[in-house]
Amino acid sequence: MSSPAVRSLQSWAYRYKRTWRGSAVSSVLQPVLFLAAMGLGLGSLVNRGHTGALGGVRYIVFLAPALLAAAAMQTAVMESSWPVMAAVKWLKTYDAMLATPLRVRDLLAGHLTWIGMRVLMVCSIFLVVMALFGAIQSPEAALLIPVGLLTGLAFAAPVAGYAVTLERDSGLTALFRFGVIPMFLF
Amino acid sequence: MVEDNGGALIHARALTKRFGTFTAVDAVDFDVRRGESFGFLGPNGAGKSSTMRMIGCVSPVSEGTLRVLGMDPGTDGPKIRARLGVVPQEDTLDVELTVRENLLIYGRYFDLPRSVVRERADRLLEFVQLDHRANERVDPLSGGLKRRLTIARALVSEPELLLLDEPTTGLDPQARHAVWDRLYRLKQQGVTQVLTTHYMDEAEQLCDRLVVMDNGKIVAEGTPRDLIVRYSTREVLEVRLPAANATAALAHLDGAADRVEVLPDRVLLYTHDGEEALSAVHALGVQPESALVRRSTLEDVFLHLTGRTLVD
Repeated sequence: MSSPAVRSLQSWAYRYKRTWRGSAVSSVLQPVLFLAAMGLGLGSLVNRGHTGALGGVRYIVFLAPALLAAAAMQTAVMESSWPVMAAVKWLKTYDAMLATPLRVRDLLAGHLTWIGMRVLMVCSIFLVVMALFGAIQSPEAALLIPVGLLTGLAFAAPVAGYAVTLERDSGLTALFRFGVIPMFLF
Repeated sequence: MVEDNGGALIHARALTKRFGTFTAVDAVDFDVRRGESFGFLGPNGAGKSSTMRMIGCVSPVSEGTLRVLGMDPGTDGPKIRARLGVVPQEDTLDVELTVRENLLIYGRYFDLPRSVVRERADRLLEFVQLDHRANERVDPLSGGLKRRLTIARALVSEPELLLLDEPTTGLDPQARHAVWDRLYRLKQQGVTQVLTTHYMDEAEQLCDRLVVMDNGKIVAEGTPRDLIVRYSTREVLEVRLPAANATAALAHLDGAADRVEVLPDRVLLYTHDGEEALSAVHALGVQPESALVRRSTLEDVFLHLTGRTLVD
């Protein structure tokens, strides 16, 4: 016996288990590319000057936590936008689930928990890549994981709420173009 | 709370569904008994799907009484849904997963143990003749195969009541017959079925009893045979008239049948005896381009009750 919300969560995990390869590759590639390009590449220029403003650490050490938080945000928005809209409008996964004993609140709890787990996966991989780049100086860096999770959920819930109200996905494109990307860049 | 409604699995009185100021279902009364196949027949927009969604406990009742399996959908939705099988109008399959995985994931929604779901999945795939495609992804499958998978999926929980919303719309004739055959077997196994359709042949094939809906109201109720007897004649004579003297000929046809209906391309004469009517037509000196005598069908009843105007 498991609760309805847990059954809804399990279904997302089940789907992911069968389609995980693409997202796993990008979960590893994203931190590798950003840490290499901005942390090492741009960092080699920054480190030549005065690093006083960085608190005396190398640029990559200064930058990496922010990149992790940004990855948490992007993952959360990505997972709570198109997949949620598809579950309402295109694939009608929610309709299928609501024809069973599951209720709307079970779908919400299960899907948000699943998005949280995806954020945890991405943050954990990010932390490992950071360690491989030598961007971690203290065990306290492990706190990045709960911080990343909270960051992700803070975005996931409102974005999912927005996605279920949309008639067309142009609203999501706008959300990325004018919300997520500017927030990441500035 | 379980109530007794004279053995009715579904009991509706003055059941109404409103969307804003629009009334989709307008105070309908019906009962569905255990073991029967019950149909909602009507043109697009008649209120069939809205009624089905209320029975399926996914759309709240606006007004009136609805009891499904003796329970109130407003308060016992999850309990009722646990005993229903739903075949929605549009497929809601997990297209990324395989045929078999679709049954496994769905069975888990009902909290069935994995071993039970696996055993049922194998049996159901055999039942809908998809066992040889169990490990293929759903996305590229044809509409007919997807429909059969959706029916198998609805049966994973071994429901007492199966709701089918336009089960064969969009399928080719072979696929339709395959679906009808499976539904007939389920009926023999005692599964109560409620279906909507706008195909008359489907209603005649599958329904023990049906209601005809139009503009949110029930306009007729009975067995397919009852309805034909009540709202049509035994036979229909269809004649095509040469364009040149059609108008003149029409004036004479009136006496040859109980009811005459003039369509743009032909004239229908509703009569007890089609051959006799044809002789009468000939006796009037009218020479049709072609003439066809056929038995009355549910389609005649349907068009008589809901009109020939196209509803969008």
